[in-house]
Amino acid sequence: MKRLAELLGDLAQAPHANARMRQLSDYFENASDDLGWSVAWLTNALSPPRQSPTKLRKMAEERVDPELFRLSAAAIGDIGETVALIWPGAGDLPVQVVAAGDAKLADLLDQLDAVARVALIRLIAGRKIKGVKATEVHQALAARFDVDAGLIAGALIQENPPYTNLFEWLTNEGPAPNWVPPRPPSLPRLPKSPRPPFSAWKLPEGVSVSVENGRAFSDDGVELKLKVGAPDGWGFFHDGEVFNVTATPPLDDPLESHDQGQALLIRSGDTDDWSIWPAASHTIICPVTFIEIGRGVNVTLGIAVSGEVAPLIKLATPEATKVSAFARKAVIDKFGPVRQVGPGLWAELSYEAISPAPRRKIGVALKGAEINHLIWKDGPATPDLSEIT
Amino acid sequence: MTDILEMRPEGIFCPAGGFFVDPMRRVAKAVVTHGHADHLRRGMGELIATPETIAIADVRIGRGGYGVAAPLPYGERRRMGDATIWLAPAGHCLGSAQVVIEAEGKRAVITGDCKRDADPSCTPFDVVPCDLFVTEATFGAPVWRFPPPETQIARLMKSLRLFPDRTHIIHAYSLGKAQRLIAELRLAGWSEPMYVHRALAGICEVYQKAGIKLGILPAVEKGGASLGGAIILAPPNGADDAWRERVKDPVIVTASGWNQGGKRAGGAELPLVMSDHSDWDALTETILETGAKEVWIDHGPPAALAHWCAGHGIAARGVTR
Repeated sequence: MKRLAELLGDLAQAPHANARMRQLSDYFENASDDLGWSVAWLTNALSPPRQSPTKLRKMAEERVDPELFRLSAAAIGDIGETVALIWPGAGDLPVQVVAAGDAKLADLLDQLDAVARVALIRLIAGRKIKGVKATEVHQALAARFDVDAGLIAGALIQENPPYTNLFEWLTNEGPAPNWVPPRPPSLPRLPKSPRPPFSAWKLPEGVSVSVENGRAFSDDGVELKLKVGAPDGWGFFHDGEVFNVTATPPLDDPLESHDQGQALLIRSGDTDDWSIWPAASHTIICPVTFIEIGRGVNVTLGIAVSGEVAPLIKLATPEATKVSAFARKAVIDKFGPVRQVGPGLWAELSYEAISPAPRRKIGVALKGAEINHLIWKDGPATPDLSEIT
Repeated sequence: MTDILEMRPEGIFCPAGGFFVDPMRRVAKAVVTHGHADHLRRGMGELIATPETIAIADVRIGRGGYGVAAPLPYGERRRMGDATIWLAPAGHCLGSAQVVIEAEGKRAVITGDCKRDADPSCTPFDVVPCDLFVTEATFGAPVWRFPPPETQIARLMKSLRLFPDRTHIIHAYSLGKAQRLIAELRLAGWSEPMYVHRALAGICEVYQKAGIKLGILPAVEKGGASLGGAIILAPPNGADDAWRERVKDPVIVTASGWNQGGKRAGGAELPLVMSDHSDWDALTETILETGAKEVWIDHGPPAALAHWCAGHGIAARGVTR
């Protein structure tokens, strides 16, 4: 309790969030207190019965000379603080004993030192903790246990002090809780466009394309710069124009496994890397390759580009609790808040449109992408084309 | 009993010895308990004090600030008129003394300012049994009970550990508190140089000459590299601080008994509860230990202490001017 009381004083005087975070982190790392009760105290989640100044004064006058109390109160100017400072006794109690509200106030005051008595009397008087934001407490606690701060915030809402389930999970003694982090309300999204931007490209029929050594040629022998295709067929740029391919593309590749017209053929910059995209369904299944746990949980989905996995897109994920648990279990490497993970988690992604992005490794950017659902299974981390729907 | 001491407009007077103790006006003979400005004034004909206090007086009011100095080391007795006086350590700051006056078979002790806490920068308080005890009462109310000083030094060391990149500016009185904090930090293992404001430099030198090891104390001046991570000691008034431009985002530290309770901390990020005065428990304990039957209360609000004395069968009255 002494340590928490000192922390409350330090936080009230800290000049900026950085200082508060260091104080909080140091406390969460080193304190022997019950952190559940401490967090409740720090986030104004305790509501002990209030005591009026008159009642406090009468309590104190049973311990000290009333005349000395009167003279002291005149010097201090605040009854509650006078009671806290004048109360005889010293010592320390665990936070849980003080915060749980089962013990008699006078007995508690007898066994606390002045700093803790001041904190307790302020609590009893209904004074809010000032100077530290609840989100700062969540962040410091999340950093201490290496989890998502949003999860902590969600758990604190859904459980009562001392948050037993949350702390059992944090200390790896309990099962993963099924909390959903509260998210700020998002702006309403526009309905998905029925016609992605490229679908307007209606092109002459009868054009066919051949690929040799990674290069594409039209049937009259002109090399085609294929970058972006139309979702409802094969498409390509040629001399600034966009052509649609309706004939079966004579491409010697795994496209066979897909319906014609269901994919995009994309060339990454001026390289010989060709990517094949399922276009019409606007969904794709990709492995989760990186997980970032910070303010919310974000996953990076990977896609195969010439045999290597390249990052496709980073998105907020559903099932954040489970995903962060997976992140800690399947971690391969760590880059600050970002973990590279091994196989085991896939996501079905839907998107509204693809646009060319030559500066990206994969050559395209997805517009309006979101994760439909997660797929938990064992399997290789490298995407397999057969997995693409 | 009032024949040993009496109150005059100039201050406490000893008729048998013909001298004043800590007079606030110019007098011929002044016994001065210590070097703070509410005890040591300019213009005394003869300044009787410990050699340390006289060295401090030379820095604070200058050699021209008094007529002649009559150094009186702790415990050395001196006959003055019909009285004998000697000085006992008061534990307040370097050279601080209680004035013990013996006349007509009675003994009076005037504490000046005093404290009972351990302090590596001065001689600890000695209890001198007496008949009349003149005590200070800066913190003369039972709300003023201070934590052990080592807990406050631990807070300071923790802040230095938590914020190794930020400059710690310690605002402390230039005589006593500053040197005490430097000495405590040295004991706690801080071996780096500590920068001092020039208002502190002279007094620190007196301490070092008196054998109080304060380490390397470079003066802090305007211009130069950033002082990130250093400790700077400066007086609380904020005067003459052009050097502040060298400091970004400092941790402001204060050390005072008035920080107790936390409400009066002002803008300080780290308000240490640490005083060079006795707290309530030390004041009352000291009165009982002296065995005095009469107590005068000076330097502070007398009401609470007088009430406490009455409850313990001790005659007490306030003599604060």
